[in-house]
Amino acid sequence: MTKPIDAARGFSRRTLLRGSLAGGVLLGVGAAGLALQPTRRGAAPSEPLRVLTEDEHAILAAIASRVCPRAGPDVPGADALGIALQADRLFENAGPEATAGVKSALALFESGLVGAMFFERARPFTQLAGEEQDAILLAWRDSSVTLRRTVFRALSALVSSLYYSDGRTWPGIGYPGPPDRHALRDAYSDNLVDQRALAAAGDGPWEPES
Amino acid sequence: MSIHTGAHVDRDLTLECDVCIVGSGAGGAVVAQRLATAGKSVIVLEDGGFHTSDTFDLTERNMIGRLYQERGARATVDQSMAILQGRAVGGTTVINWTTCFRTPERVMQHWAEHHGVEGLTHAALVPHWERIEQRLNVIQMRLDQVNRNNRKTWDGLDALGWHKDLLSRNVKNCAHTGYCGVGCVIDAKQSMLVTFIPEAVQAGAEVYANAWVERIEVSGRHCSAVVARVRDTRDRPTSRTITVHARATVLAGGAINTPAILLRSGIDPSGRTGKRTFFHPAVGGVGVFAERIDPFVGSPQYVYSDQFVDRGSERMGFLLEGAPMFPMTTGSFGRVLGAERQAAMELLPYSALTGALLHDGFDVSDRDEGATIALAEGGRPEIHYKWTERLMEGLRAATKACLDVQLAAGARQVSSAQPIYARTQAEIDSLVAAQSYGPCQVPIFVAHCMGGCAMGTDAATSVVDSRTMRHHALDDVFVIDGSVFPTSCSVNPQISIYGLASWASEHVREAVG
Repeated sequence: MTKPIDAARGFSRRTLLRGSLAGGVLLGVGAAGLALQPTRRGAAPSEPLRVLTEDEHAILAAIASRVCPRAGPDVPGADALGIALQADRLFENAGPEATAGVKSALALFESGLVGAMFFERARPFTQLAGEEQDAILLAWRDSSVTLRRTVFRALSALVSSLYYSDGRTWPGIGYPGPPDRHALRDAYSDNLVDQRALAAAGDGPWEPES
Repeated sequence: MSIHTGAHVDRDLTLECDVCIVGSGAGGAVVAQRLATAGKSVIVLEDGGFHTSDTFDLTERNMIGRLYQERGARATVDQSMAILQGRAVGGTTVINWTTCFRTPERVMQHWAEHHGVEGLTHAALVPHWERIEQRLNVIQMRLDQVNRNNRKTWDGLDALGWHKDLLSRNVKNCAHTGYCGVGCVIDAKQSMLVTFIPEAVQAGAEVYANAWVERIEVSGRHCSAVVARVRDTRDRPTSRTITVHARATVLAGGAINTPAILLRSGIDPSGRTGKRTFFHPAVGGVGVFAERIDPFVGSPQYVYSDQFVDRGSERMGFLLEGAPMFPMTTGSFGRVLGAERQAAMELLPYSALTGALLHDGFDVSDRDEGATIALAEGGRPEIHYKWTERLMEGLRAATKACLDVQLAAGARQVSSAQPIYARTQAEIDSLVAAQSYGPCQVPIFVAHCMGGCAMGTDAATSVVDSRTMRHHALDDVFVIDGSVFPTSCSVNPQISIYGLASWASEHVREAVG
């Protein structure tokens, strides 16, 4: 469970709410709400989490499954692709600032009390039915409160960029994937500049993990 | 005479040289090459990694994570603008779309008239641009090379009777694959990684990658040290530092990063550091056609229009350009859910995109237009963009122009990155009129970062002396990157920065004798 104080600190770090009365109220209510209402956890992640808590994983997985559900028999949904777990891995090197911002956004979005403030719901996001969750997502997207639009933008962009950058989704949108880079380098070998020769003795350029 | 990475900096280093350059992109690489070939000892400190083109795998997921600031997640604090900015040896030139324009003369006149810019003139830059363009093989595209995506923009402009032209690119023997934005795998793009950095290294420059410059230390009007924290090649922090003592220091980390270095160092005598940062906020119009367009095939940009560059002093001008579409970036801008989002994405192969770059910074009545760079905990830059009625009117007008182009090109339906489609001119007008253009209400991306250390001659209103690019408060510190622009430059900025860097390197050379 994300601690209320962490949720507040994350957003104040980003100064997202600095000077914003509505933001301050949201933070307070969101923090209190987290302390009172449990997050409903869906399927456990297939591997141990490294950055997110299990509750944060569950919130993000619930969002991802509404933004990018299974699109057809041959197109897996965000659940099947483990998008929330992929996000956890992404955050490993993102730095404490970015991670704190995302954790705060998840906490606010999940909070039933924040929902109640806007007369939308009293239960946490993860406890709602699918269609109710869609309505909440769209309410945050179209809100007159910039902070809510910001949270929608941040979370929906996160899950959808992970989803559509996963090669398993490409057949479903008619994207053939990038060309064969080895064939390209063979065909254009006269172009190539030997950058590795610039590396210091005993040193070397960055190498991708195998 | 080589490039070092964080992997093998196993102790704190203290180094000395004639010139320490912070950043290896369009500004830093050119200065490094000029000074190293002139016989000066040069050390370059680069925050990003040393990624060679044989490791580029052409995927958005892997390469944006490796080659972009904040792994592609850099954005304004309110998330309203996604900021695509490079972070690697070679800087943003490694991932830009190769579009080349010289700074328009009218822009430089504006800088002189309204921002006190003296010394740096269009005429002074011309010989530098000529040299650079020759070295980087800047050539204008031919109409027969234009891909289907950009051809729709061209045809739409033609049908509307609007200005249109083919743009120039810095490529040699290009395969026109379209993957410039994730690093050129065949070294056709004449980025700094394959041109000026190798030349600088061969002339004796030492480049340290994975070296994040935390601060410069000053004594009176002089820089006594540049201090960098070393990261390993997996981009994880280490405890090691590199400290450089140089006769002159060149800050070339680019807009956002250079002002952040100055702010972390406590150097802001005029209170102008980080102010007036500009982005060319970009919106677009998507056309959906009956036939496959494959907007991910072919070079990103071939055509442009300056039809709306001058909309009068009261309104924001904009440049129209063809622009590519790829799954990850396109998907990240979607604003709908589930089946509706997927249905929109399934139109990707049949889509064409016209983009518009808004010219922010030209409102002479508002001295603090654009973004302000502040520091977050840990010293990382935090970007606050000031939304104005002028910007929102510009976004609306630019979106409409992009949609008009696509409809005129024969699109069956058009949309502005939302699955709300218009099929007629009247529907476009209604769609644009009904849309709100505030923060996070329309998808906006940014690929050009400028300003934050504005040049001028008045130390009270600018950060850098435009006659030399020397910092007003420091005799041996120069700022040579896009951060010195007093406004956006109104075109894709790489050539502007190369020319500026070539010109300014002569002043650095004079300073070190």
